[in-house]
Amino acid sequence: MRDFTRKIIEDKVGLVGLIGVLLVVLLAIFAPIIAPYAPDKMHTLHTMEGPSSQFLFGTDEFGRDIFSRVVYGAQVSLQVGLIAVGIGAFFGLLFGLLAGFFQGKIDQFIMRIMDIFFAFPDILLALTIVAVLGPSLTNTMIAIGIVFTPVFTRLIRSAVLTVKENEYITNAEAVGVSNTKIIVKHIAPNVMAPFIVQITLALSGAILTEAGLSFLGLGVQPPDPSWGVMLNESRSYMEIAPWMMAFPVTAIIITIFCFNLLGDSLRDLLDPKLKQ
Amino acid sequence: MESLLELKDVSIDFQSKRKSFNIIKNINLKIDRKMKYGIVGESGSGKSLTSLAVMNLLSDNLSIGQGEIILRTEEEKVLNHLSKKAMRDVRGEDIAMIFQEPMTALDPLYTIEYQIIEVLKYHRKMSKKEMREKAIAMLTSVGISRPEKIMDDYPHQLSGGMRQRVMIAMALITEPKLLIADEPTTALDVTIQAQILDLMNDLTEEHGTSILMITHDLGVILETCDRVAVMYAGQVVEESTVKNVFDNPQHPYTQGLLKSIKTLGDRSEKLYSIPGNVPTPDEYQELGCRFATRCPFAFDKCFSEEPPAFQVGADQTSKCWLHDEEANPNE
Repeated sequence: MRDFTRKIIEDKVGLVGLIGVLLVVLLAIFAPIIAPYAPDKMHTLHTMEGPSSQFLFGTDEFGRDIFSRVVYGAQVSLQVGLIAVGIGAFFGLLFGLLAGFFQGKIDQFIMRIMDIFFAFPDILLALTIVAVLGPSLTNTMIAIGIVFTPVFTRLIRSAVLTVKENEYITNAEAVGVSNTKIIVKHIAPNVMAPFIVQITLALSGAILTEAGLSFLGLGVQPPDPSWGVMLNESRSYMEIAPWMMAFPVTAIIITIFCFNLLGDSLRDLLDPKLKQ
Repeated sequence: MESLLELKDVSIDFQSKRKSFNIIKNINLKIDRKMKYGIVGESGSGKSLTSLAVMNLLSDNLSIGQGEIILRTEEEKVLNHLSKKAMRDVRGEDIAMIFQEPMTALDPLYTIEYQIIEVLKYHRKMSKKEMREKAIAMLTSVGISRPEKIMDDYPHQLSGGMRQRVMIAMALITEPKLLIADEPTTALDVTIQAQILDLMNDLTEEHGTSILMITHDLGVILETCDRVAVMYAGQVVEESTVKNVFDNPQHPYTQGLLKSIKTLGDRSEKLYSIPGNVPTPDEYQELGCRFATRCPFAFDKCFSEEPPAFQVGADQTSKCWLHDEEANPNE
């Protein structure tokens, strides 16, 4: 593990990603301390003011401090990202292990259902699910989780198929280890590398999808400070108050960028083919 | 005395949605206690499948069509009729197995200690400390010099020979009645091969374990086994003591195999090889002898009727029409 941390730090790109991600996490955790105002506090005398020393990123049409809202927005983004990816990763791991290990009918059944989900573009599928469940923060997370399940399932299944061919699995069987124990102790740990990489990459995808859904008005509902919601609100004032759009967009871009850098770097580190 | 493991008329079939065919046909083997039994054959002769069938580890599209695999320990068990749970108790406890590829036969994520102790966990009720002590003792007995250090190592830190020693330690730690070794030395250096074979011999002798040695290497058979079955295309074509088979081979296939060994000092230009290839299962002839197409002595009957296993001499069988005086045109 120490070896692993050292390698990430040696890899400059990965380090940038890691620092960026840590900053976003810190921002989210310490939001109440970092943000100068409550995210929904309206300064009615200061509507749509540009950046100043009092309002770092300016204010919106209700006089709310954009800096505070961006900081609190990190909370929403991370929360959606982690829980949605958690849902997708959990079910993906479960289905993937079952499909890959038992193959046959279970495999056919699981993978055909996943194929159906795969047939829809991510955002469209998420939109449909939210439309059915009703727009809210919880339902956004559920929808994104469902959208991400097939990717994880397919990835884990193919990894399981490779791992299963190793003689240590036959050996474990030959020693009398039960199927459940073989899956939990020998197969699951051996598919963790691609799983972890996929989680970091899915995190950025989930954050982006949440912003997209919120922008369309089907995700997080105002007045909750989501970056997507802020973008939606800034739409009408783009020409007179561009800061309303610029800062949340920058926050989204930087966050996604850092998660992707970290994911790429992890993929290189965990790829057994690239190991020396 | 009754034999430890007996295969009675065992056939293995392959099924898929489109086709199904027979792969292993009517195998009869008897392995006595403390006996070292070899199965020799080319790639694709079904020797590994036979060993997997004994362990009940055949993949889903393969099944034992008929016959019985009987294991006699304290009680008599028909292995191919056991429940999954009962079979798991047999594996590792009564029968252990060593595989060909020591590089992939250990899980890369766990230490040697974990993997050896895993075997004990399923078959013995022992405290952690006892298990660790037993594992260290076992590693010492397979000739590993610093067992305490090796215990905390991961498989990639060990050489091929060391890993195979660890595999042997894992296999023998429960003192099984039978050890199945599927090409245990094929992936190793020639110098290490001899060491590993010696080690297996010594340890099994010590514990009174029988060995079922699966190999394509006649040298390994000669060095380690008491009896040998020669397999060809899913059938046992000749069976006897190692001495009989090597000194006095009866089946044309065995004769061909022995002729194709090059000995030191043999200066002839060309190495003998049996013409043709081993047929794949879908090419097996329905009728007649499966070796007939490559056999230099084949005659009409070989293509029309399957030869039974003829008793040749006191303790030798050969599945060839040449032994039938009525059928053989050369006599």
